Amino acid sequence: MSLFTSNQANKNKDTGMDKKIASQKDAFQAYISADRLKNSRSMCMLGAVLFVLFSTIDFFALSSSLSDVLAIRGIVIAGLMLGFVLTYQSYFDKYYDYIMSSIYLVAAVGVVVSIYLALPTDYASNIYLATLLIIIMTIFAWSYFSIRTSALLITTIISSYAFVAIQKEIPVTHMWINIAFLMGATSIGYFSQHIRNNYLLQNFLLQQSLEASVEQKTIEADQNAFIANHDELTGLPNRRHITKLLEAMLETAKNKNKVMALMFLDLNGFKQVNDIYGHAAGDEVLKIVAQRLELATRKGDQISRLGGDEFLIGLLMKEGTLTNLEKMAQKFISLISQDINIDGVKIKIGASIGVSAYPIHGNTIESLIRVADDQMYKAKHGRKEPVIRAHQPSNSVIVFPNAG
Amino acid sequence: MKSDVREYQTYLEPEMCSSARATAILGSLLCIVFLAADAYALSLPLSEMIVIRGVVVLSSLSLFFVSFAYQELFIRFYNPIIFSISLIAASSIILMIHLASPTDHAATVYFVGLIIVIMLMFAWLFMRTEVALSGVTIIISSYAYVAHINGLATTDLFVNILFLCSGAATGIFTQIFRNRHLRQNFLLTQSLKELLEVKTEEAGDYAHQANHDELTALPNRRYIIQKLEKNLQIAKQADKVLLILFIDLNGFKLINDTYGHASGDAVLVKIARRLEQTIIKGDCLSRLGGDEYLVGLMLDKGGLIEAEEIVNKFTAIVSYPMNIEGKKLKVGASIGVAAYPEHGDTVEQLVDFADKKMYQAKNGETTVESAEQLGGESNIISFPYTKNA
Repeated sequence: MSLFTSNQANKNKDTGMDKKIASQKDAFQAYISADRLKNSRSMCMLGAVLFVLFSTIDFFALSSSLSDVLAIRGIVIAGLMLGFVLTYQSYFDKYYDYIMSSIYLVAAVGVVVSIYLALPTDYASNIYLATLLIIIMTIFAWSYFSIRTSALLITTIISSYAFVAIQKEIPVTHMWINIAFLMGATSIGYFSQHIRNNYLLQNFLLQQSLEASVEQKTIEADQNAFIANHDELTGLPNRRHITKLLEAMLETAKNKNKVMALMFLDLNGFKQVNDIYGHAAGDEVLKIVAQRLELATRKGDQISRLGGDEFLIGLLMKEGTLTNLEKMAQKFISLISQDINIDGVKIKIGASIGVSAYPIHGNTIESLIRVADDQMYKAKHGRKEPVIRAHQPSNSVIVFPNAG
Repeated sequence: MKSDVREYQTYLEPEMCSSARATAILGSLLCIVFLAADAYALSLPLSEMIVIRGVVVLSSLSLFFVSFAYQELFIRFYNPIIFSISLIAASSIILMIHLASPTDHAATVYFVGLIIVIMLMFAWLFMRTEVALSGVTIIISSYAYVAHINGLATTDLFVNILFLCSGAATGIFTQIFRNRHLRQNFLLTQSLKELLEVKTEEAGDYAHQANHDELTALPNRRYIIQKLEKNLQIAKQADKVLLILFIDLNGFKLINDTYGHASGDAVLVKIARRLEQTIIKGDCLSRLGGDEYLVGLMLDKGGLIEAEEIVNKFTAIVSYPMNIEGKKLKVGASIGVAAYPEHGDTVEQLVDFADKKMYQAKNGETTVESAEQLGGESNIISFPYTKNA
């Protein structure tokens, strides 16, 4: 029984491996398909040009049945042109082996038939073998056929040549020598293809592994960046990060003629929570405050925890809407001041908020934060009443006292 | 740019070697096979044929040997070496065509051997295109010369040369496509490598940022907790004492409020540097945030006796006056202490305990020393270590 299960497990593992290898093979096919396409196109063009040239030879070398041979050349050239057109079809990639091997076959059979048509006195009868040799070497050097396709193709070419040679009663030794040349070209072509494919595969695998490493490192960098830029407890942007976010917001405000407000928020009574209920409860309070602030702000606003019980909020507002700030700050305070339930204990804390706005209080984030911080400090220690200092009727700055 | 070319060369080297070796072996084998064909196609004495084929086989084999034994030299003189071997192979064929009598099969057909050589020179080997091209020009023209003096009809000669040129053209295009492909591959690999480097560096930078306090560059809370976990493991295994000091500055808020944040930051950095110089390798130090620092010290078993002395030392180090922008400033410290194994056996328990003790010290519950100073005073808790440990 256990033997059976372990076999089963092995089998599963094997199929898993097979799948992995199969998917890698697919990826490799995709990797070479662009190259395959380009090569096929160039091969068709070059082949057509060479066959046009070869047909000029026919006038000297195969004058006995010139019209037939020229017709054959025409068919081969048409085949090559058709191949060129087919490379632009979407199914070319899928039927690559069939399409390209048919084209090679048409070219090779064309040559073999020309040899068949040649009289023994025609020069072509011996020499057109050279074309077959070039075709065979091109099959290997320029194509990406599977071994089965190449083998079938080459066997067909060589045996049809042999058949014609026997039909034409070429001396057997001569036939064998010619076949030896074709086989020689085949073996060289086969090995060069093998080495090339091996090399491509290695390259591909190296690139695959590099890509995987890059991906892994990118994830790692992103994760580390997140940790570096966010407060671990609340998940809000931290001081380092908020400065960058606010710089960007200030740019937007400057470019789009908007107003940007900063709220510096400091909790009241937080130290007592920490002291009485412990750090865990204090942490929980910070988390809940962060959640409430997130719920209260709009998309595009920026909230961060600066550390301790300090939060910084950046708001992008339409010109002339600064008067809403007071309402917003009050909303934040009332949200924070709602009971916080921690392990059955109701905790109430307050907040002091200091506000500053671009362009009234400065045009750098640094100066804006300083003003908001000062205002918060004044709110916390100074006046108990909300103070609205009007620089201009439409631009008011507000300092809120604690609510707790 | 130059180094890029050199790197590309290095990238190609294995391929240059393996293709040359394969050519050498395959070429030798084919020569031996064709020796059998020679017997029928050529009316020459066998010994002459053996000598001609033998020269090619020997030079191929020596190429094979050199590519292994003197690889560096082989790569350096790749072009001349491959050029001469190709010429040797081609001239052996031309020589046989020259020696063949007009009725021999070789006289008409052997020139196709030249097509194989020509295509090999381009498609398989890695000679520079201009070198290969000049080699092929030499081969075709010497073949033309030999065929001409042997009385081959002009039209037939023209046909043969056209075939040779077709072979060369196919070969050149193969080479161009192959080289372009290899080059692209190389560049892709290079750019991936560079990207990996960038990302690795980025990950490292962010990791440093994530683990360190921006102001003082000391490890931050999350990082020192990890370090303390490790040190606790060591303490447990090596039967040592892990002493944790929770340091909170006294009077720091006053400095901040009086002299501004910049001065406050400078104080924090100065304290960080002093603490760094005080600890030794294997100890750890962190700024937890605000004006809180955490120190973890490894002591030998029984080292707890020194705890009070250590605390005094750290207090003195913190309290020593400092010069910030021409102002003489002084802060104090409240230090809470916890030790493994006396006060807990997890980092969390120990830090909590030290924190509580610091708090007690700050509120004067167990003040040992107190000094009115500018900026603050120092409170140290009387250390409640247990002797029965």
